[in-house]
Amino acid sequence: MNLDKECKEMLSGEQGRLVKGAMEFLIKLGEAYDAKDMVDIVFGKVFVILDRWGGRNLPEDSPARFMSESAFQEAVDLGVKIKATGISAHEGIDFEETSCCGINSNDRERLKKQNQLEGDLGLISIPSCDPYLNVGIDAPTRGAHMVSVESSAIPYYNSILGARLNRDGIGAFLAVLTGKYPKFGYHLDENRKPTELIKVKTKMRNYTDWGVLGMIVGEKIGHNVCAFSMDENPAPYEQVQLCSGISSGGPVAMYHILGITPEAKSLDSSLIPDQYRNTYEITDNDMKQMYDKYSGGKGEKVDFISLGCPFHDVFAIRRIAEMIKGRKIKEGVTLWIQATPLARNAAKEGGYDKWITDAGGRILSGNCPLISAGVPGPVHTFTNPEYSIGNLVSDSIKMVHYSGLTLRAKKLLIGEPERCIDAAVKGVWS
Amino acid sequence: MQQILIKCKVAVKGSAEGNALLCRPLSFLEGVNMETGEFNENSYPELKGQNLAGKIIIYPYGKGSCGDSIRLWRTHINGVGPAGIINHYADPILVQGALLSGIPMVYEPDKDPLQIVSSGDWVAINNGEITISTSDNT
Repeated sequence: MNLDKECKEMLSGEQGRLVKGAMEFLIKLGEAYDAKDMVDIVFGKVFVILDRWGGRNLPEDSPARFMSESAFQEAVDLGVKIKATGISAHEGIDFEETSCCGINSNDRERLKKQNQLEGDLGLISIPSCDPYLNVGIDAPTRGAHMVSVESSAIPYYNSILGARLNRDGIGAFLAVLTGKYPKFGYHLDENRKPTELIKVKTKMRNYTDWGVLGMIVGEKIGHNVCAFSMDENPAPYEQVQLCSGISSGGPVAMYHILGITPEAKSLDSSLIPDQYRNTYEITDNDMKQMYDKYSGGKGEKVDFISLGCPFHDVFAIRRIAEMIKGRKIKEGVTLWIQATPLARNAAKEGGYDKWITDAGGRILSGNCPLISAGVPGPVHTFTNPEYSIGNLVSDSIKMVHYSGLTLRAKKLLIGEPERCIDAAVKGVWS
Repeated sequence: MQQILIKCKVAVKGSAEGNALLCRPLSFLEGVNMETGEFNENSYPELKGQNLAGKIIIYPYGKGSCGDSIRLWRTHINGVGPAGIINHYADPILVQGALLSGIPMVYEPDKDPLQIVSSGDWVAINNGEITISTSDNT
């Protein structure tokens, strides 16, 4: 692979073990895909492995040792700063509400310490899975090379904003640290063209429907890029749901909506092939089949209601607050509403957070039951074989799709927000 | 006993061998208990009672959460990770987890192992070559 002077300097080890190991890792990643060059990364949403999962010691021969706590400390002592702008998020923790999320004081302190080390490297902590939604950060511009570790955010950045990124894991942090990433996948023009055509022949009623549509399409197209042909122009949170469904159903990093998304705005664009490899029609029946998978039937008792996966924006939080105002959540039922940091602050400032808390619900920001280090959360579930969150209700297909394993949910129930709030009040699915 | 050789691209160098475990597109967040390596029977009912540990897992591609890069690594750290991975398409998320763990991983096989291998067959990965030992009755 062609390496410039900066890459070679980082490889030399003069910037410490962490930076050297990061560059070596990115070169290996590039070799896996026959990448010839590195691109300069301008922005990343990352997670950092340091001390993750309870601070276990790494084996001597682990390839991950370059990311040990001592290697991080060495980098901080050497004055290393991340080369690209980067934001990080944690193991699904709301630092303001740890008492209700089962986060013990050890974990809280551990994560605060990690926050500080990351901050010393120049990362800004923004605990949100959809940070492009009104949190006051600059969105990457079209064509910008970037990285992200949130699977639902990747198709959003690629498809809606026209930035360029792959589905990344730990490599995202290493790319932000070094400012480099191997040029392969969606960083190349030729891989951004749609090969599959999706004709949507069903009417979308609400954002929950968009997530369901995404799941159906993701399962059909796998790792390919599709173009949607439809009469609708989804609103931002509907796109978020489409992104989260499509990337849960398959390893989808990008889609186009003909005539709407930036790289498919012009229908005679060279990006739009005359003939697609596969064409799929999505009908009312496809939607019904996917909903039936997560219906469970009316009259089921509900235990836990989680709204906002990915996190809700200011408008959804206001709408949900209006739905719940003056009502009371049934005793024994837990209602968690996950919000972006800005949406939660806006609710507090506007006073309508009280409508939710007075009813017995909570607005959380940063907390995600699917990845939380607390309770409910996967580590707790896996280490307590008898634990179950009970019957789980959500307005998001991503949440129900993953909570069977991670929260050992019994019944998985999905519906639009009005139906979920009704279930919270009545204590049964109707 | 019959031996079949398949050539692949290499995502993560190395050699590994073990019994084959075939599956659908796999999401660790949806289907794998990171502490035990067991499959979630609700998400993957056909893999009920199966375990990742020490297996050569063969499937079309990884899907879903970016955290799977860490979840694969976590199974490895817990001693219940797969010995090797064979995919049609190499999702970078999974490649990054395999790199971090040192788990050999190959992709784009020149013959489809999902059509050739049965779960339980002995499979060896040696960089870009897979050797499959199938029993005669397949």
